Amino acid sequence: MKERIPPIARSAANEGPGTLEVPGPSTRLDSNVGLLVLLKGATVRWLDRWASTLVGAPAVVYMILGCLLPLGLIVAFSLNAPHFNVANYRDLTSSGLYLPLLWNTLWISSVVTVVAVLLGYPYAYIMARARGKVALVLGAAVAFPFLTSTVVRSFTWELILNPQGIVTDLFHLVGISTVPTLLGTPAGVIIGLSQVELPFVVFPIYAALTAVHRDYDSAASSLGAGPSKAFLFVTLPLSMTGVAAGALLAFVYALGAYITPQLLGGPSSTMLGQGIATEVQTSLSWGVASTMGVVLLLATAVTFLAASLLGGRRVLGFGHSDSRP
Amino acid sequence: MGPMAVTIIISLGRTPVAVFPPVGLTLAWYASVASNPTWTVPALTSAIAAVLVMSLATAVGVGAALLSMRSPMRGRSLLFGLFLLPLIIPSMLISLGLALVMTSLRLSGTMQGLVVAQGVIAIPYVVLNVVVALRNVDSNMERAAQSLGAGPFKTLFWVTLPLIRRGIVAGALFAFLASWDDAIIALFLNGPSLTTLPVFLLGQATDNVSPAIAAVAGYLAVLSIFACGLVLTLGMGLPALSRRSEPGGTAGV
Repeated sequence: MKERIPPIARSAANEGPGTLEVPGPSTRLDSNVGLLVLLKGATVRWLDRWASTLVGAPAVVYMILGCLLPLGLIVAFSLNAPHFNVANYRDLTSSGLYLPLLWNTLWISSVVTVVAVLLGYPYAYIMARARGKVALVLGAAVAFPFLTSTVVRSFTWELILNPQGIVTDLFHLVGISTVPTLLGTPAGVIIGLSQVELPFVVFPIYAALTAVHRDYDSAASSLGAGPSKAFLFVTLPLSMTGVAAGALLAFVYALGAYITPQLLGGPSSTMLGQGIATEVQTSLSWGVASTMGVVLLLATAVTFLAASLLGGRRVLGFGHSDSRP
Repeated sequence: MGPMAVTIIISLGRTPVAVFPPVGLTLAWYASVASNPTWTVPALTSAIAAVLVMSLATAVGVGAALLSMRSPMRGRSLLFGLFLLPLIIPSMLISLGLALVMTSLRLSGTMQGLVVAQGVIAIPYVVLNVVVALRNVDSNMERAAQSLGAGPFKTLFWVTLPLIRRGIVAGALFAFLASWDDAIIALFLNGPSLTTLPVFLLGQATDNVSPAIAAVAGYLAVLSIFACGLVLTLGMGLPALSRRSEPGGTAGV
């Protein structure tokens, strides 16, 4: 900012020591200063309001470029940009390899979701009804694999399901000599994926269960319901939003799964994610990979649509049934 | 948890092929892995990438969380959904898309490309943790600061940030892990000098595995236990992982 000589000093310098000119509000210098003060005030007030938004602006740009742009590119490449035709889609539907892939993905994902929910619900129930410390330990036990790489987790299952692994030994122990190998089969993938997805299922169910006040149990029994009836007709229905949310997460995750089916599965259990990865790695055919990507995107979108139609926004942002804007 | 224990037991075996129960107990595999550049180079690559991603994601994510919680704009909850989008859609989609972006920019196989790409999946974790922390901040503190004359940025930096530092640290930790454990993005952006540990592990996991791989898994398990302990001591474990509190109402897809 330019150094401003105070009006008093300036006029004193010009006109000699005996004269003092008191600056009035009509002098040009003052109105300039006034305007600046006004502008500065407006800026400060604008910043007060929008500072928090400005701080998040880089994030918005980052996510648009990092999330939305990639998705857009997938669609663009599937349509064979820059030519823009449906050649890729025609090739895909006519190829005999594609439909089994899609079918595998759909049925394996469904089974995995069911198994994960069946395994996860009891675990979440115990966790919800347990005392503080125990709940924490249980939570840590199920979250701990979450902090490990999927590669490592799937690999450990590979070690177990291996023909030389402990599953074989366990079967021998029970007396069965010829053991069907689980590795390389859909069953192996299902076992592995269910375990990998358990945290996704347990935590929403746990959250929903803890939202069901314990008093409901007492209320139910005071009205004459036994413990199993209370569970079936009170707790279970109230926790369904959690179950739905967990199932949604599990299904969508399974749709796009790659690492677990790749390590644990075989030709009869190849899933969509593996198809995409193969196209990217071996043939570098971005067009085909993107086309399969669009299919995956559509499957995901349809799943979410179905979930929101069936369960409403309660499922998507589970726990909230209010409508805050 | 069970499979993890089995892996560690296998890694202690003496035979060149992984068997269970293991024959002979030795820690030799752990030692050989630690001194073998075939393993240490990918591990170092992973570590460098993870640290860079952690820094980037934390810096960007904290701003995103502040926007989600404090901004007066109307599209706030929509933006919040955008910030969390990578958590909801299959990672294969994001990875494929990012691979397309990076290859088009000729950044495939470079550390910069990898860090920027992995940042996308790391940011949601930071945003979640910081948002939870912001919920517990008494906004009277910020008002007090402003009544004492602090400007908005000063308040954010000197008052809000210190109050949420636990959430920031937790978010940074999850961001680190997101990058460290990521295999798919790293797989697609793989390059001759840019192989991360999970990608390398993926290539090594065939039928006849040597306990060395189990030893690597063992190391990683220890790292995860350490991370788990950190998360628990920060006291942000369960609340951060259950997405019960969301700002601006239901921010679905």
